[in-house]
Amino acid sequence: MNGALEIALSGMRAAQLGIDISAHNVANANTTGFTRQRLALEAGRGTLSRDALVGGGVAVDHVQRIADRFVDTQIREQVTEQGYYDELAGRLADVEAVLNEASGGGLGQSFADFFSALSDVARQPDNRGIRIAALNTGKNLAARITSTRRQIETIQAENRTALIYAVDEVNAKLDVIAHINSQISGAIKLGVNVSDLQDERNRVVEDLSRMLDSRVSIASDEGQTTVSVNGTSLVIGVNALHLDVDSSGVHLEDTGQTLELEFGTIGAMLEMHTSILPGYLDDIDDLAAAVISEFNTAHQANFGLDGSTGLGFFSGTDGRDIAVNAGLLSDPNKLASSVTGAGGDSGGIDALLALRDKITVGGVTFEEFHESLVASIGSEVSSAEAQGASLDVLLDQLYTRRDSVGSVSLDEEMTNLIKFQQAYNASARIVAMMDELMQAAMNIGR
Amino acid sequence: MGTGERVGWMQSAAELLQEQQAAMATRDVDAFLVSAQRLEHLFGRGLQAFDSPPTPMERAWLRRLTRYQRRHRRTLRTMTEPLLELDALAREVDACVALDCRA
Repeated sequence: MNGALEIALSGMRAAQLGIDISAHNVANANTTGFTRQRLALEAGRGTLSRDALVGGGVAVDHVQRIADRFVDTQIREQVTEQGYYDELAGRLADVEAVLNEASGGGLGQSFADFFSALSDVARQPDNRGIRIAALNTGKNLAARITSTRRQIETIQAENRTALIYAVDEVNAKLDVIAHINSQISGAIKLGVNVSDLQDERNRVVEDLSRMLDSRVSIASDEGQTTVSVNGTSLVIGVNALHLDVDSSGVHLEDTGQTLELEFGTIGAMLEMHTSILPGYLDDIDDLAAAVISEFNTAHQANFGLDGSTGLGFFSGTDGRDIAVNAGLLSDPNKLASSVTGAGGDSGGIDALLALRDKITVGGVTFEEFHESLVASIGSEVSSAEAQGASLDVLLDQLYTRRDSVGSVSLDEEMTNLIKFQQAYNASARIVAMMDELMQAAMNIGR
Repeated sequence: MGTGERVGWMQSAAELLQEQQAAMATRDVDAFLVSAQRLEHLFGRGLQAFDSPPTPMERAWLRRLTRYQRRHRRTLRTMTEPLLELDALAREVDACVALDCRA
């Protein structure tokens, strides 16, 4: 009789645990990243009773976390790319705002104003006021180039700061993963349910995947996760390595080994840092250097109203320091408007105006080069945005697939609750029945 | 290098990228690796070799090309990684059988 009581008790315990798990699932139905749990039961080991093998009730095998690891891996893969393209689009949009012509007053307008003012000088080469106006538009053009360059340098500095913060965040996440690994390992040894810890680790790993292209493998024995990037392990069990960043890239703090981080938000920041922003700075410098060189060559060959010659129109070497020659600004008569040195001759200005249609830089004219600059940033932004948008759709589908497996179904949990309640009642009924039997046995012979 | 040569360089890069795409479509890893190597060699020469600086569009185009190539490489790695893991597991099992381990 005692055996039957023990069997009934095991059933009541299992049903009670099933109710607890369902209640936990229901309570977390709206918790982000929560994966539903299920009670896995097994038949208890039987015992010999009066020459017959009698079952030993029910035993709790484990609490199962209903997750699809394959979908999780796919999500991490896509999240990394999404992080990369979103970050890239955002940072490129900052550059686009600097180069944007839509608001007016951009570099293109400065070129147009400058050539227009030179045309005015060509019509009245001896007019001092018109000369001053032309030199001022040249000054505006140079200022626009230097200010555009400076703004891109500011974006570069901001990007560098963001990269440092992002690497700090990665280090913190790596520590968290190692800590959760340690907790999971300890809990497994004690036979404690680790599903919630696994969910928490999964969330951190997914956040990390947004930042860098991490690969995750889970050791089956103690449930510990190894996180690696391009074959370099950053978290091994309970140990986490840290990253460091300098002007040359991201390295392992301990060994200095450089990590090739091509995707994730950090990949985007690194690409901005090493390739995109230097590329745009080079573009501006190439344009400025060509403007300085071409205008100076044409200007130096001609004469000002005071007979001066050999003066450059611009000073400086590139986008950092381009400016109108200070000598011209202090004395507008030095603007070399004449080929012959005679008053009324506008041949020198015509030579400057001819530069508008000359192939000067990168196989195109100044203005075409600038248009190419504006178009290139526009195309880069739209390309990054389009890639990001296509990944949004893909990720939505993957999240739906994950939810279909791992999210809590309230209907199912209600059914489970009824099922476990009935099982509990049935086991309790057996206990009551055993009590009656015992009473009956004790009354025999009275 | 003149502008014509630059256009030729860009055409070569585009052709190699197409080869790479075709290799991916047919899951020909060897062909992919060959085209990737040639593409990297071509990129290694870069646009600095030209006598006049590249236009911003050319620079942006090159960056996009590099980005696509990286994405291809990543996709290939994602495709082959499970096979490599399976291979490692199979070798582990083989070794276990050979050693008659009963873990």
